[in-house]
Amino acid sequence: KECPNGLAKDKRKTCRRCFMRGHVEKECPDRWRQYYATTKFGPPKKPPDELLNAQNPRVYCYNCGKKGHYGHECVEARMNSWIPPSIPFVFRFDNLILRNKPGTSS
Amino acid sequence: MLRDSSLARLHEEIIDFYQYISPRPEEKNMRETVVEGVKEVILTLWPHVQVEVFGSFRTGLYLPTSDIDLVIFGIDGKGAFEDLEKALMQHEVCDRDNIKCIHNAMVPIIKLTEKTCNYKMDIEFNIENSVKSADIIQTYIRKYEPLKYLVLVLKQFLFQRELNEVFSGGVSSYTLVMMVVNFLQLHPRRYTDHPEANYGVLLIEFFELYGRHFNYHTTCIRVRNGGQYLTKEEVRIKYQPSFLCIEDPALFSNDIGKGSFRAAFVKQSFDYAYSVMSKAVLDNTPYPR
Ligand SMILES: [Zn+2]
Ligand SMILES: [Zn+2]
Repeated sequence: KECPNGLAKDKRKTCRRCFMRGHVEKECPDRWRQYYATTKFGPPKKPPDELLNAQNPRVYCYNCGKKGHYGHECVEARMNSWIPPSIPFVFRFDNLILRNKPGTSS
Repeated sequence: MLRDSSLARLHEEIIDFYQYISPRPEEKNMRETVVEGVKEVILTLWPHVQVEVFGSFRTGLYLPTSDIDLVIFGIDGKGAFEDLEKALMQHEVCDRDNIKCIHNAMVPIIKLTEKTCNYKMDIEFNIENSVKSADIIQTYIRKYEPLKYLVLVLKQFLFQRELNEVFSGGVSSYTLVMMVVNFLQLHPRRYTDHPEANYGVLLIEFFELYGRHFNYHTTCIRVRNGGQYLTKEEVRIKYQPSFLCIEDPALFSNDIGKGSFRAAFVKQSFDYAYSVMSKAVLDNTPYPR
């Protein structure tokens, strides 16, 4: 179960939102990242489909410096082993999902 | 009421900060007057030289506290430093206590604080690339819309931590701009230059990248031709890469991060900013459950 303080005491715990290790859902970076296309007050705005999953064709890795994969996909050792990578794409736009299917996650 | 709006608010605050801190016409005129005064002293001393403004005063991306950078072409540095120092004091541009030559810096410079408005000024000699770098920055400002907003916020951030000068091991404005440019160039998500991109998210992601994820031991930055990363091995063929290794787009054989001997502190401060900011926005973002 999640820590009531929202702190991931167990670093091996997997986030139920982005499926990365090291944090719980409540502190998931996906929760602030979902606002990347929102500049007005209100719920996070989901970008149009053609932009939603658009990826940069310049694919370089910030972790090993090589071409062909992004940094979060890298299998090489991290500079700080205790910092797991995070996904630069958004998993969920909260209010949109909640409006359609309350209480469930996609 | 911050509910559902903390990131929209952060976005607006970044734009407000940019507008607030950006130079007003009077500020710009004051700086220009000061530059003219110093130019006159230099040209009286050496009528044949050429004096150019470079750095942030040339690019327009400066804070009220930012230095004014001048470069003099057409005179040999030997003895010139002392001559200019004397001339500047004679013409009462500054007092003896407010001027010094720094010979042991990567690039020898005269640092002074002028009398009328207390502007800090750096004067160097015959550095061809100074002007070229400023022009490159201007090209990038036109190309990447979020750049100027992020850069001014980050400049202020570094200034407050005394990490904004290479002279003391920090990160120069030029280096900072190239870090932001490369961050925008290589961001995996293709939304960063969209007119509705949230600058608050970009700012936190900048701190996330350079504070947490970027591997300074293995990776170097190149901004020319659309940007890429290089491995340190690739770079080592040409020169010894520094911790924060960035190829100078104005001179490819130059590593603009090489003087930043406190780059590890810069990384640390970015990491700290990431923790504080991401926590602050999450505390004010509704949690569905
Ligand atoms: Zn997560
Ligand atoms: Zn990699």
